[in-house]
Amino acid sequence: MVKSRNMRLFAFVLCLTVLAPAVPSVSAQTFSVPVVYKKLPNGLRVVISENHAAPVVVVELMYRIGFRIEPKGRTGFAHLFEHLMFQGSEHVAKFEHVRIVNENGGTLNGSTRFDHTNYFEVMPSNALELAMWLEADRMRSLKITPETLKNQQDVVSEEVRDNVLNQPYGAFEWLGLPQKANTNWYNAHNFYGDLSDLEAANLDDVKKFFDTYYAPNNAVLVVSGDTTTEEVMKLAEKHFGAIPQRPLPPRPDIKEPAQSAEKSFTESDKLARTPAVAFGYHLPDRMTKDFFALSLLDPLLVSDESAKLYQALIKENQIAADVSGGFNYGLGNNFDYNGPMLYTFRVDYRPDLKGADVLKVVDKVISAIQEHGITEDELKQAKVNFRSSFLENLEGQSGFGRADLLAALALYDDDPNRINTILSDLDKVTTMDVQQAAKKYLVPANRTSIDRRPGGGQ
Amino acid sequence: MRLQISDCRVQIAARRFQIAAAVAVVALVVGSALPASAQERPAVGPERPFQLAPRIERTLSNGLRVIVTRQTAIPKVSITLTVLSGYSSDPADLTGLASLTADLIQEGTKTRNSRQIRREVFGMGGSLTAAASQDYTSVSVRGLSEFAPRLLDLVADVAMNPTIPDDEVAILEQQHLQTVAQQKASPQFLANRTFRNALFGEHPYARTSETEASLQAMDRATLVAFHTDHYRPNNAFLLIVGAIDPDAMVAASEKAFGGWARGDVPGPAYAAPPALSGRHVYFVQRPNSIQSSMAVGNIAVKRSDPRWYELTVANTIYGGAFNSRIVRNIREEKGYTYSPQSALTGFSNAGFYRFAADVRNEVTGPALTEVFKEIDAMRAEGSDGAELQGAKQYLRGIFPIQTATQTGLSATLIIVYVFGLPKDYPETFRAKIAAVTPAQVKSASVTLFGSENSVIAIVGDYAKVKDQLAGYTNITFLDTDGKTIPPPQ
Repeated sequence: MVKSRNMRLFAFVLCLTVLAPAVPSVSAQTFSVPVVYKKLPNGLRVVISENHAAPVVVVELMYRIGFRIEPKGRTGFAHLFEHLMFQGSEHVAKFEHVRIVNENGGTLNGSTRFDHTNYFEVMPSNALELAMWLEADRMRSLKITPETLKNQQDVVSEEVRDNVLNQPYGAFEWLGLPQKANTNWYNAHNFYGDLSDLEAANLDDVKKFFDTYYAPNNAVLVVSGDTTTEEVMKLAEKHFGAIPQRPLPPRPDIKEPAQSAEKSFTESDKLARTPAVAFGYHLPDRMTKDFFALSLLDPLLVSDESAKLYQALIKENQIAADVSGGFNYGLGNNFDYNGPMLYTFRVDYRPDLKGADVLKVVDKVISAIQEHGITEDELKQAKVNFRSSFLENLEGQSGFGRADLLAALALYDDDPNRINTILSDLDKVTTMDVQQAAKKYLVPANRTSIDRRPGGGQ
Repeated sequence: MRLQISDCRVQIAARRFQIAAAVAVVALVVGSALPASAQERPAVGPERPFQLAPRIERTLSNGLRVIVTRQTAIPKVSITLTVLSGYSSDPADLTGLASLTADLIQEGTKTRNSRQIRREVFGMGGSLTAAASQDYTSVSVRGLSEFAPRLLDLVADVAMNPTIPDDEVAILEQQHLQTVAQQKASPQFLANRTFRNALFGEHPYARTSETEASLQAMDRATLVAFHTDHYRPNNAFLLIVGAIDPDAMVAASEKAFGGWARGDVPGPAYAAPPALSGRHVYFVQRPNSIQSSMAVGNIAVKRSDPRWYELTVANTIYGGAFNSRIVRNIREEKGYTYSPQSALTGFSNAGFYRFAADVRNEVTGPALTEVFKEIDAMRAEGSDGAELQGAKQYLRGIFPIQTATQTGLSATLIIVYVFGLPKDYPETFRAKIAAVTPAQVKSASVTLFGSENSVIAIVGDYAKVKDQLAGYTNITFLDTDGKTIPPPQ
């Protein structure tokens, strides 16, 4: 789970609505998420998760196309395209999607991640069909004009200026670090986009991208909240059933060659006043034994003020003001991606020091884990803490968190019921597993760091 | 496919592009068995009932109000002790005292040191936070509901028995000094601070953050004194929301907080905000900026004002929702900015309205022109018809969405008790929004949106935008420390 003491922005969110909803339960031990999983003849996967606690429903479409495999020479295009999905379709005029959702008491957003792009509405449950119709209309008949493309090129360029170019640190920990740590272009390009690439995008690019990836057989529809399986399936067939499936291209090779030596970079920042260092380790494949082991070490290492790195850097050595980190840092969580991934950290440290001084203390903390492991008590606490964060994520963004995790598990694992078994997989992790995984992955040779220093500004 | 691409080009030439595959699909669909009605916009069904669970409220003999409600969304609980003193209670030269006190009470009690507190919370799946805002400070723990009684004891211990150790004061002060340095690099932070200072002057709502000087002036004794003076049961309320047994939690609250002694709590001193005259620009020179970060606004009513509902509707129409006039104009039509928005903020003693956006240097002047053009249109005509109905429906619809989570419900209930809103506020909010009339929206717009007299804070690179601000004659230049400087060259 991603966390930070400071609230750093999630970067790729499209718009500005922020909201809050929910699920019934007894105790943490017996809590489970209702899941029904179906598939339409055209290949659209449908997940239904009932919850009648409030008259609210979440509708999400998750497409298996993220920024990782966007076209070469068109950096930032997957995200630009996400914006275009709000610019009109056959029965919906430009921006009318937003107007219809808001005027019927709902909120909406979309975001672009490594391996998928999601679109969602949180609505009063009596407006369920309206939301499904809106999603179906743009899947069936997106309509982009030169004017709407130009408009969103301008908006996205401002977004990049807002979150990267005019900000101290320039998103170096989540946008910059993958570009340095990875060597395969798919994992190592500028996901937000160079402004010149964004400007170069044309209508042919838009058409080709839509044709290639926005097909029902490349997507998952999740409906969670105050509805029934019967209602959702009836509406899914009505609105999505006649959208034809299309052949999907083979997936490019996104494998990342193993790193054999530590990589360290220093960057000068015209806007920052104090230094920060970001570093990341290549993670084991998702849902493997080592992945689960590191998922449990994570809260012990970098969750909050109790964590080992906070205690060592801020309390004992007093060399830093803040430390944060996580898997898929800044862009998601442990489960909502499917490819090479970094375990990323950021430390804001004392101006009289260097990033290397921070890494020395970090290495001491990690060496202790590699040599002595963690205690049974720590492991038990980590499991409790992970369960709590996992539940919190389900409630996040008004219940969107639950829909989004179900969508990712359907898209990447073809098994949304995994939402109810992930915690049992974590329960199997032993202290020895954690120690072994730390020895294997949290080593300098597997690490890339960027030391970001104030300079060249005032 | 080839044919479709050429179709596409024809359409591009006509400056009207439709994605070719989609055209093909439509053709297919129309030619298939799908009834045309499936593509038409469906109607919305009848509104479904919305009801929150009942709340228990008790006042302990020492004056502490306890509010408990069961919300079983997930097996977690939020426990929040809110002390009704925040930034407004800081002495003028010690801005940040309430905030630093909130941080320090978590760093040790008579029976637990800092590390023990953190480990204990962690092991209950919890997170402990304490943060000061303008009128109050909330000490809050969120964790698994199976640990609710122990989480409650921990909040009580931190609030009632902090030791505020000297070594922890030193660490936290260093940490805050670095934060202050970082804040000066953030254009959004500087825009807000400048805006609030200009708007509120000597009024305590001008204070948003500590400074190097105020931090250096604080020591253990000042922090202990603030805690002793303000952390009192008769100046606080306890809110518990989660998958818990309400009666048992009320009983546990009596046990945990019953021994807390009352005290006389000093109230904040409210000075009058300065009178605004004209459109006054406060320009913060931030070299190398490629955008202008702006905050524009005026004083508004306090949170408990009965006009809050109509003001909220007016703000929603202007810029408070994604579907709003300012977003349609400067984002969706003109492409000046990514995230324009306006917000209405109400405190105990006053409030403010603020438009904020980051726009590229080249459109700084034009963006401001549109901001005032939309304000003037709201003031002159208000809103009616589908637009007004839509804004009301938006506010009514998102209320159940916001209160359907434990954290969302907690946030709403804190507002009720901090600002002394009617106890049935959550139950009546939607009806009161529905009752807002076009005449009220128009009068609210005149009340809410200053036009001729406004504060305009801009953080940017003056040389790059100077020519666009020629129409603004009253400009004060500041550096990132807030000190007045001559016009930058």
